[in-house]
Amino acid sequence: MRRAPAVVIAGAAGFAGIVAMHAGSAPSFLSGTGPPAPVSSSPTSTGPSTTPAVPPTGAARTALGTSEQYGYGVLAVKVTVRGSRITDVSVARLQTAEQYSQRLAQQAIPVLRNEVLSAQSTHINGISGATYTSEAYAYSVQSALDLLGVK
Amino acid sequence: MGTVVSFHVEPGECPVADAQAAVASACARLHELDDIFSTWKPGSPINRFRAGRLRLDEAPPEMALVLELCEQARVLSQGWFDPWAMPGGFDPTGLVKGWAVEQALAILRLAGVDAAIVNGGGDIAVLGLPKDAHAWRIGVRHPWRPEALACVLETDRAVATSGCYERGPHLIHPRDGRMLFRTASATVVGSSLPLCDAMATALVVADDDGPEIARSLEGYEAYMIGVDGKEIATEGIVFATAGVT
Amino acid sequence: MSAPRIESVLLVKSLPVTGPILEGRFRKVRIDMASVTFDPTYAPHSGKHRRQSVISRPGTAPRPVVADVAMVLAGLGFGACIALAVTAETWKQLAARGGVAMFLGNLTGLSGTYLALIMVLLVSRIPVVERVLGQDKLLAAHRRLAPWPISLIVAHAVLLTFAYAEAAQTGVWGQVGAFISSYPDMLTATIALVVMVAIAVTSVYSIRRRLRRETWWAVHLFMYLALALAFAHEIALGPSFVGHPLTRFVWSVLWASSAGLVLVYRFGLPLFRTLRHRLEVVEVHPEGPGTVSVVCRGRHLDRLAVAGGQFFEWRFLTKGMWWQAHPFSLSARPRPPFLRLTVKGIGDYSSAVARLRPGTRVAIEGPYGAFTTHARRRSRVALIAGGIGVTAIRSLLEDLPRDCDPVVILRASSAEELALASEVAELVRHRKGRVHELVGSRSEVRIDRLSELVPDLQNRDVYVSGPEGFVNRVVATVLRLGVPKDSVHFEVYSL
Repeated sequence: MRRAPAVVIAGAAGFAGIVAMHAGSAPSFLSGTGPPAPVSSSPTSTGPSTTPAVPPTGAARTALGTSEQYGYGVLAVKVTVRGSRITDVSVARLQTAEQYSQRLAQQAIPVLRNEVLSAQSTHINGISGATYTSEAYAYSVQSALDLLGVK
Repeated sequence: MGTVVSFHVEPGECPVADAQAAVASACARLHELDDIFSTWKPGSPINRFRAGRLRLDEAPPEMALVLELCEQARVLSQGWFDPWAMPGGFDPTGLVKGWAVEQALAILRLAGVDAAIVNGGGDIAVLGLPKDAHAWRIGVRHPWRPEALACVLETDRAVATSGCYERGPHLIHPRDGRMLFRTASATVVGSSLPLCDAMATALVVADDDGPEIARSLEGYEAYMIGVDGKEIATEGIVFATAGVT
Repeated sequence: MSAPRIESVLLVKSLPVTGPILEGRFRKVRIDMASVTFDPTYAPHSGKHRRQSVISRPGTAPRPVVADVAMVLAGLGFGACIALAVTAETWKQLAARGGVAMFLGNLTGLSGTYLALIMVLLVSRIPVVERVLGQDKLLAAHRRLAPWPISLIVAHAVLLTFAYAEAAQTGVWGQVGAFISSYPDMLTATIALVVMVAIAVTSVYSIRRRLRRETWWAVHLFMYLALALAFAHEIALGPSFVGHPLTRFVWSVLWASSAGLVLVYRFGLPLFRTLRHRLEVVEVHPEGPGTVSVVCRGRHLDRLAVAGGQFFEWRFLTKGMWWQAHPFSLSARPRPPFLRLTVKGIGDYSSAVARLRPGTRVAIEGPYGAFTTHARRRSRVALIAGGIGVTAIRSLLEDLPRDCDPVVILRASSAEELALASEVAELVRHRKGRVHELVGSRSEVRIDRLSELVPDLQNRDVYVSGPEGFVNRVVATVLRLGVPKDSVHFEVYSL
C-alpha cells in the first residue's frame, strides 16, 4: 500500500499524543517508577504499631506515599510516624471514578448535621470508615514508610 | 487482607512489657488469620475452599467458625448481607476483618490490660474505657471528603463502617446484581464487631430498607449518610458534642 | 453516405426482438440509444420522448487527497487506541494476579473495536471516499481486514474472562456467569459477541460458498446490531473510559458519526435516488448470445451525476428478484430520460434479467466506482476489456475527449461474444483511435501480445475490466511492461 508509511507515522503520532496528554495527569506505567523489586502480589496486613499510653519520643514525621492508580481512580496515603511507630495513616488524596461521588465532590457539599470536622483538630481515639482493601492503599503506605525510613 | 491495623493500649496495672508482648502476639495472630482468609494469597484455605478444592472438615477450625458467623449475620440482616452472593463465590471478607480484630483484642484482654482499642482499617474493637473519659470518641470518615470527618460518636462498644465511596461500585446487590446504592456510608455500633461489620455492609446494600433493618436488630445502633447528605441515626447513637470543632 | 447516425443503425445487426409489444417502439428507442454512441450532443426530432437532448451531468471529480487524509486519520486513531490501553495500566496492576491478562484483554478490546469501526466505515459508501478508491477496492479492503477485528475481539473476551477469574480466584465458567449476571451491560455484550462469531463463521469461504448470496448478506447485516449492542459495555466498564469523560465523549461521537454516515450514505442516499428517479424497465434486447441490454427510463436523470465507467447496484422489483441487488455498469452514459445497462447471462439471476418485463420498477444504489476518466494521469489511454468488461469501457469512452487517440482491446472467446463492439468502434473512430478485437480461446490468444499492439503502452493510462482471472493476468502483464502503478486502473467483474 503506497500510503503505508504515512499511516504508520500517523499511528505513532496518535500514540505519542495520547501518552503526552496522559502524562499531565496521574502517573502510570509509562512515566512512573519502574517495576517494583520482587514484591509479593498479595498485600498482607502491614505492620501494626503500638502507641502505649506514654507519649512516644521523637518528633512526628509525615510522608506522603506515592499516588497509586487503582484502576478506577488515584489514591495517596499520608503516614505519620513518631520514631519508628506509625501514629497515623490517612488518605490524603483520593480521586474516584465513581460518577456520583465525583459529582458530589464538585458540587456544594450538603451540610452534615455536625459540620465538617477536621480529623486533626478533633480529639478522637480512632476513625471508623469503609476500608481501602485495594493494593493501591498498601503500596502507597509502604512507599510512605520507605520515605520515612521505617522498616 | 490489605489493611493496616493499629493498636492503642492503656496497660493500667498490667506491666508494660506484658502489654507489649500481648500486642506482639496479637499481631502474630492477625498474620495467621490473614494467611487463612486472605483472598489475595494464592492457595490460601479460603481460596481453595471457594474453588471447592478444600472441604470444611479439612479446613482450619476458624473457617467453620467464620462460616457460622456469616450464616448468623445473613439471617439477622434479613438476607442483605450475603457472602454467598458475591460474584467470585463465597467471600466472607466483609465479616472476617471485624472478627480478626476482635480476636486480636481478645488476646489483649487475656493479658489483663486496662483499656485498648484496636482499629483494623476502620473496624474498631474496644476494651474498657479511655482514661478520664466515659466513652471512646470515634470519628466517622466523611464519605466524600477524605480528610474530614462526618461526625464523632461516643461509644463503649465495637464500631464498623461500610460504604461504596472508595473504589466505586464494589458492593453487589444480592438480588439483582446492581452496583450503585443510595447510601454513601453506614456505621453500626454494637457488641460484636463481626456482626457490626456485616450489618454495616447490609445497610449500604439494602438502600431504602436500611433504616428498617437497622431498627430491627436489638442492641445495635446505626448511623447512615445518604448520597444526598441526609443522615439517619437510630436512637441509641450518641454524638459527641464537647470538644468538637 | 447518409448522416452517420442513420448509418450506425444499419450497421447494427438486426437481432430478434424480445416481444411483439415492443415492435412499435423498438426502432425509435434503438435509434435514440444507438444514435448517441458517437455523438454526445445529438438531439433527435422525435416528439414522443421529452427533452432527450439534455445530457446527464458528468460525475464529480474525485479528490485523491481525501483518501490520503482518511487513511492518515485511521492510522492516528489506531495509535491513539493503543496508547489509551497502555496509559490506563500501571506496573502494580500488571504485577497483580491476572494483571497481564487484564491488560492484554483491554488492549485487544480497544484495538479490535476500533478496527470494527474502520470496517463499518469502509463499507459506508461515503461519496468523497468512494469516488477516489472505488467500491470494489473498499470491499476488498473490508474483506482483507476482517479477520483482525474479529480475532482481537474474541481474544479480548477470552483474556478478560481468564484475568477476572484469576483475580477473584474462581473458575472460568463461574466468571462468565458473574460477568453476565452482575456487571452492567455484559449480557448485551455477550450476545453481541455470539452474533459476531456467527457472522464470522458464515463468512469463512467454505461455508459462505454453500449459502445463497442473499442469505449470507442478510446474516451479515446483523453486524450492525452486534456493534450497537456492544457499545454500552465499552463505556460502562472500559478502564480508559470510566472516569475519563473526554475519552468517552470522543468514542461516542466516533460511533454516532459512523452510524449516521451509514444511515445516510449506505441506506438514505440510495433510497432517495431510487425515489427521485423512479426508474422502470422500458426494453430488454439481446446484444449477443447470452448478453442482453436493459434500457430503463427515469425522471430527473439530468440531475444524476454519473461518470462513464461507473456502476450501480440494481434491484429489479419483481417477483423472485426484488431481494437481490447486483452490480452492473452502465453501458452508455445516461441519455435522459433513458439509461442502459448490459448484462451477461451467467447464472439464474442474469437469465432472469433477460426475462424482465417492461414496466418493472428498479431500485438503485450508486453510482459507484473509481473506474472513470477522472483517474487518468495522462492524456493517452489504453482500454482493455475482457468479455462483459466491455460495458464499462464503452461508457468510459464517451467521457474521453475527441482526438485523444485511445487504443481499445476487446477480448472474447468468440466473435459473437463481442457485445457492443460496433458502438465501441464508432466511438473510437470518432476519437481517432483504434480497436483490436482479440477473439479466440485462451491458448490461441496470448495477452502478452499487448506490447506489439500498443507499442507506447508505458506512456498511456491503462484501464482493464473483465472477469477476475483476466484482469489479474492483464494487470500483471501491464505492470511488467513498465506502466507505473498509478496509471493502471482496473475493475473486476465477479458474479
